[in-house]
Amino acid sequence: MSRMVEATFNKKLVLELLRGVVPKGNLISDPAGLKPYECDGLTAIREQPWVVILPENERQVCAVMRICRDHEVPIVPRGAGTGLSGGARPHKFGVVLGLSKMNRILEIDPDNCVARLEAGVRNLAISEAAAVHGLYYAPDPSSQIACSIGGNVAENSGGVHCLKYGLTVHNVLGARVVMSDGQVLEIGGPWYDAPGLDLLAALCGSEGMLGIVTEITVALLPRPERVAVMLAAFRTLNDAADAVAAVIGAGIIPAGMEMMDQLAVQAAEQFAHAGYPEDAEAILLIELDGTDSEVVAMVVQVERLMLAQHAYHIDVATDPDNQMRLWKGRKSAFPAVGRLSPDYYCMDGTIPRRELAHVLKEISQFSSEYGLAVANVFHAGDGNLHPLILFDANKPGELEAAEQMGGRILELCVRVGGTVTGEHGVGIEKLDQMCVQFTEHELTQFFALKAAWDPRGILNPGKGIPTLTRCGELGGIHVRHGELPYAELERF
Amino acid sequence: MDLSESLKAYIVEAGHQDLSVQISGQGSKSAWLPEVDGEMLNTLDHVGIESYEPDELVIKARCGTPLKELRRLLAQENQLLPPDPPEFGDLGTVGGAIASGFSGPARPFRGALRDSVLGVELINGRGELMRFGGQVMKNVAGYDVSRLNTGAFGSLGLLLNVSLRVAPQPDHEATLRYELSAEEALTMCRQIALKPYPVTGTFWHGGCLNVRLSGTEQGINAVMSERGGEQIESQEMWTSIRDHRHVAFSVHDGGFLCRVIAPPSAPLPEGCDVAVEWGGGLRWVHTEEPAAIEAYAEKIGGWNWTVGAPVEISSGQRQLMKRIKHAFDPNGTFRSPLDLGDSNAH
Repeated sequence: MSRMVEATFNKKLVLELLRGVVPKGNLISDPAGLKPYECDGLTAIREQPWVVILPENERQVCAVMRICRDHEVPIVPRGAGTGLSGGARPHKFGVVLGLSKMNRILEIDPDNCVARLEAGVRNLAISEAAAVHGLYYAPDPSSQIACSIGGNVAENSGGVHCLKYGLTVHNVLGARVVMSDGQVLEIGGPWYDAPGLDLLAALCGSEGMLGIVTEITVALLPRPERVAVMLAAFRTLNDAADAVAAVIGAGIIPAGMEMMDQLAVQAAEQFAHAGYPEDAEAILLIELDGTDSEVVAMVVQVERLMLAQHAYHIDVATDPDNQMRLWKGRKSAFPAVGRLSPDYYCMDGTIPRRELAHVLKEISQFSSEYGLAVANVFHAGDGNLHPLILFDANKPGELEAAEQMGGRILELCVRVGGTVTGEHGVGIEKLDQMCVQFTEHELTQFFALKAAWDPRGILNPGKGIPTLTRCGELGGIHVRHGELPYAELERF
Repeated sequence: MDLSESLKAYIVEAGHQDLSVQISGQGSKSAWLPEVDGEMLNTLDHVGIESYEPDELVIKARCGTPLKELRRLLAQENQLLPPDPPEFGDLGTVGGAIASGFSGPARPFRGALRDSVLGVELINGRGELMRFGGQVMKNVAGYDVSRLNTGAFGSLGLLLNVSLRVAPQPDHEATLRYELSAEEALTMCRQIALKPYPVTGTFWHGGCLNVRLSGTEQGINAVMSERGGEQIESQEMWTSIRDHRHVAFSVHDGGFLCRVIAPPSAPLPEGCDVAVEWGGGLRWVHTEEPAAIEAYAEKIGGWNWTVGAPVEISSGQRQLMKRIKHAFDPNGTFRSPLDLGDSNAH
């Protein structure tokens, strides 16, 4: 089903069938109505879908799926459309199936600390609904105010707290999935560890290519009693990297541990006035949480570790206002960098932490080689690096140079034992880099696994896994003139 | 010793000769599922730690490495395997642990074994050596084949090695004991689940609820002053629960042990000898009538696994699992005790 120039199905007939499934108004086929669905958070890559359909319940999802299967119409599932790798980029001759109308919280069960949700429920809405019981849903992707739990499952979303609390895959217990034949399959269940193959693990992060999730059961956790946020500033990147290792080495797993290099610090400080020392070559932001007495003890211990690694400035925030201030700089790093340069590329590689100093040094060499500045923000605890390559697409050759440099950074990540995407997903954007990370056998195995779920290949075709014939070099979030998609959302 | 190449050659050859291969380590979990036929392929010589980076919280071990050895290395660095995988009969390999996917008492609190799996290298049924995942915590490149293989009982491939996320050993550990009926114990488990206490295990049996706390001294003391309870010596007790050496797991003649996973608040079966772990979510039930426990599990929305019997899987799921098995092992070379309805593959 690749690269069709014309639809291979009877459009008139299929449209008529689809109209019979959902209420009028839930099927969009006029160009103006289709416009908002042309892309997801990766705005550089657009395609107008053939139709958008917004089912209101699982029965309608099944009906759409059966029609599409019978007529071999590609289906692109879409949650809130906040994804950053083009996973929800439409198919020209396909249906975008949006789950946004299926947004009911079906059950918050404090007795078992679980919540049952329709796929379109917003991530943050879960924690808001559970708050009355002192519970919350831990994974907190930066787009959590808008992104949906169904999209989180598709992308295996993380967040700044995944160092301690894990990714989506660690916090989901069960799902109802509409398979590509229109049948509903229950996977997992009301509690942990269903017998047989771990289908849930395969589903999480599958980018809508294996099935359409309509309902999800997630684990809820008790809110920590106390939180403290610490800023530590360092004269050298090596000291900062050593400080991260020292914290882990001391047996402390912070709720979050973030690093920013000098360019990112300066941009963020000028933008957000968070009180970051602009002369620091690197800063760490460390969030500690737990019971009152635990946090008090950890703050003392971590402060001591920072000083031992030559931190020259430490700021501990124990009240919510100051914590928000310290986080504000980090959370506005992307838009702040966007002000320094007309365009930037955001990479999403993950590396073993020990390689940080080495990788940053090589990135700095690339930077000189290509004449393009790079700001680095880093989920330091779990090795997820976001180098932001600054360029101006209006200057001849700079876009190509940035793309080439980004490709080399991702290849470097793979070479030191990491991966091309830590949290943003492959989507349409990192297909080329997948060729660097995986062999022909591995890619073929991925396709075979996909075919086991979706034999006709109608679910999100052309995403996630590159075909063997495809091999290029490069990818990244292309941000034009600082116009970050969903600029109102924080991006970490 | 790295036997990757010879294991690969063996599987390629097995494919040519249309042999069924059964992968085995020390066989410590052989009592869990019915026996199957097949040429025994033993992985015990494929041993060794390929890398261990305490600061990175990751260890990469070959499948034949004894779990005990892995734990010993971690302990030297004051680290542990968060999910507490069992060593039945004092034995077990890393490969066997991953293939069976069992987690110990810490599962609901520190995550499942599959949660700790960051990457695997495996040989599929075509004899192809492949790597999935890696050594990093965050990784969304491609489908999560590593975790899919955890608990697959060797049905999809031979796991050559696995990278596991490890965690620091907490400074302090204490166990509080409360004399409570089963019902009272379930209630207390629910109460503490709503608190951010550093709980890493619960075990109720014979009228006593034991709650393990791991963390800072201050954190543990705070729980003790809020909740009271008798502090007991417990290291050996938790290991014996993990490894099923505790008396609660001994099965008498003619009896069966059922492993029921259920929503923690669901009622316990009546008239049975029961031990309860995982904050109420895991019930070990002694019975002479496994069918009754099967029905009980279904009624409370949980799953039963009668030790030694095939695992019950819904037919829809089984169909999908069978297709997944076929995707990895089209000729049915791997004969797994996990019955996915593929036993006629040959």
